[in-house]
Amino acid sequence: MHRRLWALGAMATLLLSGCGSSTASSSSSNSKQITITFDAMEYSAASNKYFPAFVKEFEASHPNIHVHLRVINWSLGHQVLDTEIGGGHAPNVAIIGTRWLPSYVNSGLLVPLTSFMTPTFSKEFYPAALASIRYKNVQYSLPEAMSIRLMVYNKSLFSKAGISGPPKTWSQLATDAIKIHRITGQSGYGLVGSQVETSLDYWYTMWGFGGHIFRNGRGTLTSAPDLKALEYLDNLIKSGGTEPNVTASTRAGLETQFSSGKVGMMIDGPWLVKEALANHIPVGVASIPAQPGVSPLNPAITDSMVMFKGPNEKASWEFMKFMFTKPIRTTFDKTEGMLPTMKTVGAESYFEKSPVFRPYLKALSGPTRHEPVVPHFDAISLAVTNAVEAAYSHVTSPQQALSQANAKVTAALK
Amino acid sequence: MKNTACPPKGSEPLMSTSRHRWQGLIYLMPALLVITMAVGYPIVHLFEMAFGQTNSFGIITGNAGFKNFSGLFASGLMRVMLNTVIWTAGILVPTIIISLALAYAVSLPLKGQSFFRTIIIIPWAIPLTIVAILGDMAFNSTYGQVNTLLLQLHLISHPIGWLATARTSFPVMMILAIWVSIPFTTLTLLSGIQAVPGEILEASAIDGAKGFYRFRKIILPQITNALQLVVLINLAYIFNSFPIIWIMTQGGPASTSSTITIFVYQLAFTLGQFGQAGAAALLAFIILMGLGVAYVKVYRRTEGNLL
Repeated sequence: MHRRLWALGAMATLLLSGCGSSTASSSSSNSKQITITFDAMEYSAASNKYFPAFVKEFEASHPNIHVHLRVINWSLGHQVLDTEIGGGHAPNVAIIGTRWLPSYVNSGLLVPLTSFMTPTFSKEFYPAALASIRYKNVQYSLPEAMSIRLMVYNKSLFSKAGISGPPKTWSQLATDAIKIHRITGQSGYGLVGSQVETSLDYWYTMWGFGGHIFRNGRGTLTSAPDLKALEYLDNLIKSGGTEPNVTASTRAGLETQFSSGKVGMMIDGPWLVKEALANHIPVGVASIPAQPGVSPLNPAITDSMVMFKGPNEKASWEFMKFMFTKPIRTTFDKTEGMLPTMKTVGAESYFEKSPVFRPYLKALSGPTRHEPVVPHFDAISLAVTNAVEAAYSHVTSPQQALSQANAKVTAALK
Repeated sequence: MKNTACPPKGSEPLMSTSRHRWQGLIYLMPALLVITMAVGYPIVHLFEMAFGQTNSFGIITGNAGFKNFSGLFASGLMRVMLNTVIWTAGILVPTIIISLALAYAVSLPLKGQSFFRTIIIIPWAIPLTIVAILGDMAFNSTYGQVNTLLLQLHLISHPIGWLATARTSFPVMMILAIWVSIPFTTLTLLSGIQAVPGEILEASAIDGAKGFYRFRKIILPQITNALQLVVLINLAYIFNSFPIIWIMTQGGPASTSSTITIFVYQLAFTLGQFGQAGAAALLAFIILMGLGVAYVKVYRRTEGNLL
């Protein structure tokens, strides 16, 4: 028995030493080979094709750098990244939601890109695109994907309802939306009331009423404009100005309805225009309404590409620079229907003349607003989502709902 | 002389047994190590997180005592626990009853028996995520097939927003969960029924036992082990289920359809409160263990007369 055990032990030692020597020899033969990890997010099914193609192209021009690519589902992205970081395996380069940026910066995980970015490189971006993702006045990230949200309306339903053009104020929007529903039988205004983007759809209205999410480190959801905005949306639902069952409506679901001609208007990005035109729905695009006295600002949402601290920062920057070259950006923006973040791409005739992109590019040069880049923004967003859903489903009054959420917002900001 | 050279009577078998035990333990070591790593380590880590101070990446940075637990109640733990109890009981009881009926039905020597047994397995073959996505589409208020069918049959006058409130979304999701729980439960119970000795069934038939009486008095007492197994496995599985609710409502609107797993997930990955998430998960673990142990004890005390 003892002999058998010794024999087993000896075999195991041999196997282990064999493994060790093989690893050592392979690493010594490729001593100049650098491997970096890139966590990309899945924007659509096409992401699984173009991201590997980009990496392949990069590796062909940089034979000493190997990129280990992981394409992660957006809905799991934050969880996967945090788990990797928690386990001590942060990627070298990653695409992130800009909402996550503050917590990564405050934990000292990201490399400031200012030392890498030359003035010539910086000038290639639209200033609004870079500004939208700046945190504490430092550029920690590059604008991976950007979209401005505008009012997209169905010209056919507007015409049938006898409405000459898109509403400029929220009060006008309510009148038009109810009219569309009454005359055409379709939904007037598509309002997201389910899951993560519920808060965003509320913010469009709240900003249009002159409200804010917070100010000076405290929640301002109990202020008059914030409350008026939620009461306005609640009344719009009750008076039939929106789709029925708002609390079951996700943005993706509403987009499908809009593209099949069942919604009069909704606030969304250029991909909705692309989808609707593909379905032969005549659409127009306009600025988001604002109440009289409030300046209309179109909200811009940007995803970021960041570099995590660690070895091979130079190689990581080489890769990031490659990802922000004209051919790569053009392919990405065209495929995903995103707004160009680089001027050379935006100047291409495909974008300039496109009925899909033209109004959005025009809005990009006008006044825009961004979701605030503050720590714990996901917690703020969840608190507001729950409050708005509670008000829409009449679990609580708008006032009670916002009051409860405001305490959570203030707590999250501390 | 010969006798003194021999070991005392009975000592050889004892030594041999002892050696066999050690040998057996050595052979079991790899499996024990894997089990310790796979089950033991996560439980220890769960305790560490529940009583630890954590950063937003789940790394433990200090000791928090019971602070993580006290914060749970303000975060809505009680409502979530009530939902979890309704969710678990509302799926477990119908699953067991329907599966018992189905298992008994397909155990009978009927025409097309193998066809029906195959049909029962089908929900098991569909990934849970797909079931949830299909359910989400089917119960969509605008273009869902359920509303379309009900409208065509004039059973409803206007589309119902099935997923718009917890009052309707919870039962809808429970129906889907029952549907996916039935195959495993039915097959396990069927194997229990098939293991009932033929002589017992024949004797009962001669004595005139048939129909529901035969099932309740003859078969049910014979499949208590299988029944106990499916109740325990389903209890843990349903209590911890996540994909259906997450895909269809994400616990909304306003967390009204949230169960403990959704609550833990949101605490950890939306709010970055890993310590509180650990505390909630530990509470859920203790409750589940308690329920399991209590069930087995009561089951044994009543000698299987408890369903």
